[in-house]
Amino acid sequence: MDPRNGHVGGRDSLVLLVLLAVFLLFDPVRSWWANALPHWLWPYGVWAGLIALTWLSYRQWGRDRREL
Amino acid sequence: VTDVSFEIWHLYLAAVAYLGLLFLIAYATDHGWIPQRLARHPAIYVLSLGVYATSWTYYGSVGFAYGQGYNYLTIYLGVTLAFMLAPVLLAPILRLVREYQLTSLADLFAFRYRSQTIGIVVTLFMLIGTLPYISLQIRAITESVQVLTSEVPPVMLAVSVCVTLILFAILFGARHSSARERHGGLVVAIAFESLVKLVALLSVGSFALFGIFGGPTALDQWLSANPRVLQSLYDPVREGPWTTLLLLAFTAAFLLPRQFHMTFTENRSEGALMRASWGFPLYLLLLNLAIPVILWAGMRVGGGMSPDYYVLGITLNGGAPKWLSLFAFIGGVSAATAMIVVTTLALSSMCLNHLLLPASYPDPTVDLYRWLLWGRRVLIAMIIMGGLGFYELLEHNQGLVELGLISFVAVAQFLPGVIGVLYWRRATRLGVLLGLAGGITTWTITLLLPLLADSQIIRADLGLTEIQALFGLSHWEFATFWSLAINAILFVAGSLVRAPSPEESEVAYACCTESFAPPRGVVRASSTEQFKQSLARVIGLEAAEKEVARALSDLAMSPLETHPGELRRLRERLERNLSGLLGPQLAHMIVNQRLELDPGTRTALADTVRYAEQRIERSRSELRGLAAELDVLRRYHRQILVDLPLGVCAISPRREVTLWNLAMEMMSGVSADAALDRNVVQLPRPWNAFLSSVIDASDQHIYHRELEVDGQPRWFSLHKAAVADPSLVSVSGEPSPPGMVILIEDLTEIETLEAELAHSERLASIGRLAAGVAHEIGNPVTGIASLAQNLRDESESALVGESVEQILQQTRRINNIVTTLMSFSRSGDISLQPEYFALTGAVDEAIQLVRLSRSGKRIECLNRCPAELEIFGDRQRMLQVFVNLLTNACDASAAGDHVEVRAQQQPEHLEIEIRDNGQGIPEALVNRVFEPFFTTKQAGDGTGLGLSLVYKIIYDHGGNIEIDSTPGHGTRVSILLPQGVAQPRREAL
Repeated sequence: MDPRNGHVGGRDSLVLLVLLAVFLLFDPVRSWWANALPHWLWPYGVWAGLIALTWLSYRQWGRDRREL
Repeated sequence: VTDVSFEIWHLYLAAVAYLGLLFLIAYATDHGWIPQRLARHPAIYVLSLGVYATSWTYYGSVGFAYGQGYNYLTIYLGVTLAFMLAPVLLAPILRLVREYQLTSLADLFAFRYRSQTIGIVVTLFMLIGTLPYISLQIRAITESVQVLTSEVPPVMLAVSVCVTLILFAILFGARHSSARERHGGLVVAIAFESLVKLVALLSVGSFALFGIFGGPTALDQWLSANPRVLQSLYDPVREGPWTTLLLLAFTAAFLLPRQFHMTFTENRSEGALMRASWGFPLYLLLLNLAIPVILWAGMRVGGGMSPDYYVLGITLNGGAPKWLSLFAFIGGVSAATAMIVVTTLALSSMCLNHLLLPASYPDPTVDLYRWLLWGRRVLIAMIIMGGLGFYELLEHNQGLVELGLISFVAVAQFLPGVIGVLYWRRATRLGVLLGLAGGITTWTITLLLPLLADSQIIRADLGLTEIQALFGLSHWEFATFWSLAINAILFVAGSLVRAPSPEESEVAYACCTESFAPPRGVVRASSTEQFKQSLARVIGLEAAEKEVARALSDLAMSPLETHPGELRRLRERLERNLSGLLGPQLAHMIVNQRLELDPGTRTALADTVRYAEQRIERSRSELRGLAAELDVLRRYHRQILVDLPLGVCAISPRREVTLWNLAMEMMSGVSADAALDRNVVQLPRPWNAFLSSVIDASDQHIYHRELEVDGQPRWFSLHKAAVADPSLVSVSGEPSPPGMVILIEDLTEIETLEAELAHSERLASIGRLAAGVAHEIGNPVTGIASLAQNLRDESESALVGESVEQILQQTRRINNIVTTLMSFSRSGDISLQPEYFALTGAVDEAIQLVRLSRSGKRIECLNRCPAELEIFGDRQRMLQVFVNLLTNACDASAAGDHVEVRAQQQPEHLEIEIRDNGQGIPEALVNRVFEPFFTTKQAGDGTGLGLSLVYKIIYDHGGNIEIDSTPGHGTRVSILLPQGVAQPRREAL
């Protein structure tokens, strides 16, 4: 993304992540990954999602700090 | 299939060998054998946080999952949430810890609430709350040995392990007298331990998946065949206290002593913490990935073994290779030892600062550093042995997780206080003390007493089971909810009852905004030597000298510093350094008592400005919106002043320099650092007297003031205006005594140009005058000479003839003067006739002419000009230059001396030098020798026009002439002609 157009890497990534999460929650995508990922691993999937969110937030936060 | 062939001493040796490896890693790091780039890598910091995963995680998670299903993940999801909030939760604590050299949670509380009592309460409660956790680790090691050997290990095993850990903790955690020093070796060793735990657990998980189930597909089939197994993981989440566990893990993530120590005290950069915000949860996720598989493998092959030890059990019963069992055991040892060592270090620091030092502060004659070092070492030993004692007391009928949760709930009692530190300025020490008292009492009743009762240490039936059933809460929910609720209510109520003291308010402001108000007052001690003497009465002379030297080094300050503003900074720095050594409250007391402030003396405005600017630069509260715009505007205005091409100097009402811009630095040669904050009279000479006189002058504008700087005269114009101190107006509402801003313009260059112009004009006017005079005098003199000759021809009297001869002689002299005058006056009017000619030839010719004169006959003139040098110029005029200069040199020299002419081609000009060893020219006259009619010769020996003519000819050739003379040692005249070839000035051509 080009910052000159008002896009900021971390923020855009967060938006994309939210869109992806919404996409993943609807059928038939949901039934596909539900079958593909063993049932017992679902909590880990949620946990990994939280970590990804933190990582993206860190990128955004780090960028804000550098801009300051 | 059980194939046990381990002996206790095998396992003990393996554990000792492993600890030996850790020794080696820590030692190698401390001695620089491991590159700093690697030892300080953020990944090492992230891995070192893995100390969170103790035996509870390594062994107990499987048991917890067996009983509470996926609730076991909340212990790690809570950590993930805490680290997700790193920018607003952990980073502010990190900045406070680093800024004020705080080494533990007790330090943080004592610092924020300005109370030694709070430090003591936090330390004691943390100690009591953590001992069960340490005993859990010892128990995990001994029970894991029991699992592998099927024998009850002797007590000496636990004792031996504890002694080894004491040794390790002392060697690598207590090498310095103060906890303010970071322990690089320890951090790398702990990171290594985290890696070992991860690899061991993943190896056991892989064995469970592939060795016991035969792969993922087979596992799925097994789970399909046993649906209740998977169901048993999900059911407790719907029923169990997962929110409570989440909250407990959230607080434990950064408030447990070991977590606080590794997250904040051993941290090297905020960037590392930010990386840990996702890196550490990722580590925990990987660590927990194998737990369900190990659980199911244990259920399949574990037999009657406790689920807490399935990690070991499945390797024994599942037919795993022996090394895997041993590796799994080492992973468990790793988890336990890391926790014990780091926790003990953190607790020893707390106990030292908040129990030992306040209770028995050492005499100043004692070596403080040595006392602290041994104090820490003894405390480390006592804490580990205390954990061992707790382990021996308990009946061991609780699960590993139950013991751990007791510590978690204890640590959670500090959450309200931490929120007060970071976000609630109204929080007071009374509120914290009341809240902690309520929380600790509830924790004791609901968790500690039942634990002791279970172990038959006390006999008590508090009837808690009925009360818990009444509220419909589980044991943990009940204890956590009520202890925290009572704690929080008392904390808020106690804080609201009484307003915080001014001192509390000041620190609260600093903690919440990460910005202290500028300190008021001036330190009574007026030198760094007095600082040492004052501190020596409390901490001893040696420690005082070292601490003052350290603070001076931190601030890059001179030991001779006497400026009040600088000394106050030194005082502030000393308090922070002592805080790292003795704890914040003791350091505050010592500094307040021994390095007193005189509140009557006002803080310099310069200090306030600099202080505010430093704070703004480091502020966590990122400036946004209007504040950011104003800050940009402030920077812009400041930059204008700094870059202004005129000198700007602002003076406070107390005559301290508050602004010294770049032009001032260039003009005065005094740097801003050397000028700022200093009284005007402390500035280097001659600026101190100069600016003082300007400040005292009644005129607002002073023009053309001369000042001698480095022996050279310089000229300045100054303009001054009164400026009120805005801070005084805002505080008192009365007009403030005015400060002053002074604008300084350097006129030296203009003055020089004007002098040159005046000189040129004077020469020109003299030239015109000379031409007129020569013309007017020449004709009558010619007439006089003709008449005199006629008279000599007509008279035969010897007396007349002699008189006529004198008349003719005088007329010839007048003619010479007139001819020279005509030549001088014409030199600027008649065009040069430039041509290339050999320099050495011209000089030779000039020497020949000079030898004809009386003085030239007794002086040897040497031509040392290189033969190849040529000049492009008017040969006749340059010849005149050489003749005049050589004549002067010969006249000034004594008989037998010699005069040298040298020439040298420089990159940008040709330099011709005429040097004599004669009497020289007095310094006062050097600047006047080029003036027309100025001569030092006897009347009749010179016209005073020779050097003026030389100057004019050289000027016409685009060159320059300089005289360097030392009376009694001779004179050196340098002619500089551009590019070795004279470039005649346009007007002369």
